Amino acid sequence: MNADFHPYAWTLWLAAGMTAVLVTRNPLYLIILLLAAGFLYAVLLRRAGQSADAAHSQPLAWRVIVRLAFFLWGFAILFNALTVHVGQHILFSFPAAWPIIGGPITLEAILYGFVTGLNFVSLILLFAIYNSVLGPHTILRMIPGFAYQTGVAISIAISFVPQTVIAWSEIREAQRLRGHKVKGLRDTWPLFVSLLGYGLDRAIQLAESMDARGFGGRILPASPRQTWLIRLGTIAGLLLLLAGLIVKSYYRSLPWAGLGLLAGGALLMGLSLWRGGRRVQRTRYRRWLWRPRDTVLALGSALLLVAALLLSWLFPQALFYYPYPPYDILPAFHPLLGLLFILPLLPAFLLPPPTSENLPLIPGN
Amino acid sequence: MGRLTKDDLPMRPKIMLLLAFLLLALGWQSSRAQEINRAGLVVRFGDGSVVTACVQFTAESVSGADIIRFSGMDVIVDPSSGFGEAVCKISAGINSDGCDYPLDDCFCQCQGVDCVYWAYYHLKDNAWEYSGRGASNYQVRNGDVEGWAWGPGSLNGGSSDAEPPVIPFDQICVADTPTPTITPTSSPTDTPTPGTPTATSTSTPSPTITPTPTVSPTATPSPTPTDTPTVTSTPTWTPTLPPNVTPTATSTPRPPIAIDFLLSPSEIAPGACAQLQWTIRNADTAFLDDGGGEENVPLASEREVCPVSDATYTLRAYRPDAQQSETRTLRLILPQPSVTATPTPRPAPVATPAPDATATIGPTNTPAPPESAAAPATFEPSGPTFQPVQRLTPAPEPGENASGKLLTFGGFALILALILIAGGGALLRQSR
Repeated sequence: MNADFHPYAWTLWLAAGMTAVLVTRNPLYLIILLLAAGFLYAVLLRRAGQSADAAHSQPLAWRVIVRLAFFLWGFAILFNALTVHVGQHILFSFPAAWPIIGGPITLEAILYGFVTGLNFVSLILLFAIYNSVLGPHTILRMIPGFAYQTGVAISIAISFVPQTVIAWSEIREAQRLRGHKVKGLRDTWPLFVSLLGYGLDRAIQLAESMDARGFGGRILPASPRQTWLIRLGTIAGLLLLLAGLIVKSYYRSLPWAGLGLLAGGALLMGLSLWRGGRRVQRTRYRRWLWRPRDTVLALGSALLLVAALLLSWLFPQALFYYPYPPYDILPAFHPLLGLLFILPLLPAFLLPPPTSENLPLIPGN
Repeated sequence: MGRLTKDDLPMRPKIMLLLAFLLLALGWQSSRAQEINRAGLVVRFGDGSVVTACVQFTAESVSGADIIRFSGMDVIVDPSSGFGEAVCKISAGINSDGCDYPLDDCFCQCQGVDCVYWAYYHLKDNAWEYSGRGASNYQVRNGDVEGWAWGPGSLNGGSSDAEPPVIPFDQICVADTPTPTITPTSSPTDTPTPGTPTATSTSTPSPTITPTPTVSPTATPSPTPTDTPTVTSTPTWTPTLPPNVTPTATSTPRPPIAIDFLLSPSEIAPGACAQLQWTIRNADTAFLDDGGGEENVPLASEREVCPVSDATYTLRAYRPDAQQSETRTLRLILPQPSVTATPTPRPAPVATPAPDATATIGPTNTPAPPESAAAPATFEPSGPTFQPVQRLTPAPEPGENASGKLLTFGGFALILALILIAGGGALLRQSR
């Protein structure tokens, strides 16, 4: 049983959405993508509201972060408008003697801040959807064997904020039932103490449960020669990557030398990591299902991913927008490209409507 | 989460009021002075060609970025760093150097061993000094000269090869106001250079304005160093305007503008080329219009032209108190034998009135630059005008503009409607 889609299909969906956001500066496409992601998030929220399951309350927990992102969006607009005094469409002016904010306040600066904010709000929303759908345990399971330590750290880091948010609301509710009222800063003290205790409890619980499942315990022994080979390979690969980066950025006349070094380094790193990862053996109890709707989602996501990469490589102007002169303040728009950015909404259609039998009985891993 | 209670509120307006007063007091200081200040600008492009401009502003000081932006040249800046603006590209007429930010990196040619970028200088004591600050963080005052050079800047080990040429302020900003000159008796043998009024040529001052400003106590001599060989040794004092003298007051101590404009041959076969040659005396700047817009050209130069149809070349010589233009027509002899080419009469020089609209950068920079680059020169009446530079996103034709916008916004509205319907449908489906 998995969270309505195969985790790899979700991962491809996230990769496509993030790539599309990162290569696009044009606000019209980004608005379409943000709306698509927003509707998908609303669908997930509605499903979460219908099931009393703990695993499905994740979208609710991520709501705080999404709200924070929208708040930061306003801040980005304000900051850019006040500090950048470039542009031809002047709305009003502060006296030039005012430090930093003095000067004309232009429409261009506001638009630039708007687009910047749009970029990171879209990124955060996509990330929130991905994490609330899969949950930290699924993500941990997808991380390859050699990186199991990093994987644990990442999954704890990712799940920290939503878990804290859930804990906070639970503690608040409990205290409210006891008649506790928050009037000043001093009254929040009991809340913080409980929150801290809850967090420690959770950490210990996680450690114990991982230990009980034998996490990181059964690593196959390796001969000293093998260990040295793996270490040497990793170090050499890292050095090659570094050299490749230096050559690529510093000697622009030799682009292929840098790329070659980078590829060699990546290959060496990959080989030694793969060799090291083979020592970690895993067994799986529940299998993830790949259903027809996963194929559809994967194909749609792959279409968006490939299109975004090709566009940014071949026609960088297509997704480009820069409000300051001498460029046009109005963004360009092509309906076909706009249709492409609806694709992140795809999971909302593929998800089956809730009936009594497909409400998950077991938490979604 | 400390929620603000009602007791906290009365404190806020007080602080706000205090802040507002503080800011107002700060702002008041600057809005007093309203005299016209000027600053010179020297831009050296990668091929060595130099463009100068004189920029007027009424604020006490404006930033170096404003100077280059309102000089009429096309500038691409990168303001996104948050620490000020980086100049990525400067274009003036046919001259253009730099990087098309943000499609390219702002310092696209400064990534590695060979580094060229728009280096920024200030003229201090008749020598260029590499700016330690960015253009938007440096305040330019009256009489300053700013330099930009497409080159290695500070990275070339202190050599002055890449610096802009040293041009003092009073050669860039030739006074558009009565400029009485005083020639000291110590240099009677100095030959007057063209463009620099000397005492011998000030024989006909207009009677309304007497050259008394030289003894005006407010006159601050703009120092013209006398020890460098590049500068004429005739010390000229340019007194600043007394506040009651308007810049429209004219006295013409300089001899009239003289234009020598040659076109040879005046008839060519299709595909052939002709030679334009010109020498202009007693003017500050020259502009050549080949039918596609004016561009700033040197005062004496030549150029090969190879038009594909009949072309008219207008050379306009300009100085603040006068301008004059001459036109030459180049005819193409068509292959039809019946058409006989008639020699075109040489048109008389047409004197057009000097532009009197002089917009200036106010203390708050309120006058926005014109929407199109039609008349950027209004910002600096004594500076050059520039041909509008080709845009990266070409401005659509008026006819296709409307349909293009319709496609843009109609398409966007359509897709918005689609996503609203689709998303709403998906939501409804889940609530069943």
